[in-house]
Amino acid sequence: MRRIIVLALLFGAMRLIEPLGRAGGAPDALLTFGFLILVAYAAGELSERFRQPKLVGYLVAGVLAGPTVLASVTAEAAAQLEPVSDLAIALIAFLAGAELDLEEVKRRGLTLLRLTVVELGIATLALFGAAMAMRQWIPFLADADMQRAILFAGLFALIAVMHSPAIVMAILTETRASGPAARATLAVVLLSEVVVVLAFSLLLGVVQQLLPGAAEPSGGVALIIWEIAGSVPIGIALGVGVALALRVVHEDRVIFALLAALLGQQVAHLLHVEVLITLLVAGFVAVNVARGDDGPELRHAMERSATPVFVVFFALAGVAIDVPAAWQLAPVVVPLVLIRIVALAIGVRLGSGGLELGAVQRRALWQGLVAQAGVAIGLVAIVAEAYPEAGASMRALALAIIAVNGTVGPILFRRGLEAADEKDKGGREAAPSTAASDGPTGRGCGTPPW
Amino acid sequence: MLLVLLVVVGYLAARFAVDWLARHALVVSGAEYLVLGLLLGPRGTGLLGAEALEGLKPFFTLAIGWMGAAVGFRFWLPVLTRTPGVLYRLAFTESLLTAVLVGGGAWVLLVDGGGLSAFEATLPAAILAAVAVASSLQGARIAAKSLGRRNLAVRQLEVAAAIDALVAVSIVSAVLALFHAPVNLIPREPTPTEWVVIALAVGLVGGWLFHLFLGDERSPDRLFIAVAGAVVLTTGAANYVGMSALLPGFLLGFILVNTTRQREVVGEMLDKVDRPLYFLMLVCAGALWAPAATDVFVPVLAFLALRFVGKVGGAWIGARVNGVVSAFGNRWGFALLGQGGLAIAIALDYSLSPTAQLPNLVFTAALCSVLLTDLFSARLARDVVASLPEDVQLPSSVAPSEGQGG
Repeated sequence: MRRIIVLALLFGAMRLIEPLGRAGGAPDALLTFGFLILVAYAAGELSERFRQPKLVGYLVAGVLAGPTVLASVTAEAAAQLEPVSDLAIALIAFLAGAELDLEEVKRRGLTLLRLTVVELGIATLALFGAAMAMRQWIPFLADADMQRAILFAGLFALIAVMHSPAIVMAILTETRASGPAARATLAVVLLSEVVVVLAFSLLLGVVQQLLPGAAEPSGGVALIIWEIAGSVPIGIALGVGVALALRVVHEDRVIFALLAALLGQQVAHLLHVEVLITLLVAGFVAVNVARGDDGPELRHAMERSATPVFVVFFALAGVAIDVPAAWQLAPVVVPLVLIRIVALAIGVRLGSGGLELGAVQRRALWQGLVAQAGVAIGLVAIVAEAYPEAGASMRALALAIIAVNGTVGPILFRRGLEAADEKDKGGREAAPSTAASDGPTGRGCGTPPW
Repeated sequence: MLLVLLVVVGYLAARFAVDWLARHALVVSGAEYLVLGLLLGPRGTGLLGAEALEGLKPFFTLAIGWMGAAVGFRFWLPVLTRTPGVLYRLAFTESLLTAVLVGGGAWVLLVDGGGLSAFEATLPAAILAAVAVASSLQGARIAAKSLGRRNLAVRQLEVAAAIDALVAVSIVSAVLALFHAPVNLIPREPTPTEWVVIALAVGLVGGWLFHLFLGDERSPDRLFIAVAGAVVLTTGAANYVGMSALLPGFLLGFILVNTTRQREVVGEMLDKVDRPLYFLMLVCAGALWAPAATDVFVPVLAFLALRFVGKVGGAWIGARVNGVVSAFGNRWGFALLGQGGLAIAIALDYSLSPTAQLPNLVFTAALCSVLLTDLFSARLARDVVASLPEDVQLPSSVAPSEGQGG
């Protein structure tokens, strides 16, 4: 209660200094960002008190502070903060890649790939079918002829099926979870990024041939394929570079990781490759190629600094959620979300053979796949470039689905990990108030986040 | 890809060179980050272009506010009240003499040779004075290593560095209030005094509310997020009203250190983040730097010379005036020549100001000074400390009487 009163006073103080800003200038991004961090922090604590993931609190705080509710973070300030959000997602991708173990990938790679393809295939088909069945209520399908409707429903299904590596990483970090379900979930969400974006690029190529749009996506479909295919060698080169650099960089590894993520992000932009995949690959290569303990040490340094990155990322993700638009689309969104959840559960059940997972672990796995975050928005933007009208309404629907899945997914995954008894098994003590030592596979926030 | 390789090789080479210098010549530097910034920046490979730098602006603005909070955190009242008054007098004498000498000298040079009016020259001259006054804790740390933390010489160097920071932050805040850009959103433009009061209010109100917000929080990771939020908010508020984030940050740090029950944890946290932010500032400074201009060569050399005279001479005069030459010697000012993040923060802060005059000159002077003094400040501080007796005692004429602390 005390914190809420202080936040209200801070909000009042912000309003008080508003006339003192530069003429015509938007509210300063840092000012609103600082307020957002404090609100997200308080909301995260409140969320934890109700035994829910903190990141749900961060998201809700972002939604409340965002332009469509209280507007303490305006649309201009949110746009100014995009680089912060981009850097946070680059760091999360780098960390997510670093969590993958080469030996495990070698041992179970094919099984995990099969599971990924099966669950994605079933969920995509289910979403496609649902979209077609409800086409009269979906604006970009309502007036389309059958061919156009099928193609757009296909693109939409691929976008709506995507998972969220960022949310999975955040929950694993927060719960200090480790075990077969946690590892399999992380691997599947990372693999699914590549699979979905490749499938999307191929389908968009077909759509472009059959339905010439208002404009070719910048550089054409070949560029979209390059964005994915090119990410791998560039990520490998970056990862090898980081691994080599670790031989001489023994201190300040957090700032080194930050610089590596920043450099990777810039290189990816310059070479027109997918930032997320580039950094996922870079993180994976860097940690697995580095000499001796350099890799694990880099990973632990990043894990210790992860909590503030998650606060920032999810609070800003919440800011981007348009509540009125999501509410308007509720009659379509709710069935789509439910169908996706059921399809994911069936997909995991059918595809997880060979992974030796029990029923509870399988449940945790599909629950980990429910969450969605911002990557899908990038794909909608590509559709919007070629088909502006359809793209705009597809974006609104995708954002509404992401908003629901982004809130429900973390809650489900946390419960799944608890049920699978993988929570707090990350190799370190759950130490809320004092720094704990890093375990070999530990991830979490028992240690100070610097 | 060639560009990326160039950047990586350049950074690693600089890092290797700096590591070697640190091991063999007692040089502690962040020069490799400056080189990295130069390589990444628009004048290097362009990987960190103007747009990316604009995107990074919130980060280095935050670094400035964080630096202020770290400086404010040094002012813990229970220790301040136990420190003999003569140490403050000595520190203020050195600090103010340096400010007057460098500020006055720079003002004369800028009016005579820089083509600025007397009023216009006041702004860059005062900022150069603030940059010159700032000194790092390097000397105190080296002294502490050799003499132990309770030694009076160590305390003097700590006090001097803290007072230098206080004077530098005060000068920057005052002069930026004096030259504040017009606002136009309210009927009457605030006066410079009012701007200073507004900056003070941002820091004090922010610090007080944050103290209430934090309550009895003990968990380090939660403390980190909360402290980071408070520093970002305070920095953002200062930036929004067009004032330097250093003063509000300073006040926030001051309130924090004197109110939180987790003083050591928060202090360690501020210190640990301070270092990466310093390096980040160096990267950004390197990227923003345009060192080729030959017209800044003479003024920068003059600045370096004036600063040297101000620090060493000011410290000598201070010791003589206060009658403590026998305790600290004539050369103790050499231990204050080192500069750290605060000087870079002031220069960056100034270069972001819409009313800045000759920002490149100020920026170049600060960077050259930081890099140059990094080369030999540790060695100088060690020599000064080595020349002092193991148990430094104040002369009886200035020593505090019993019960007055010390």
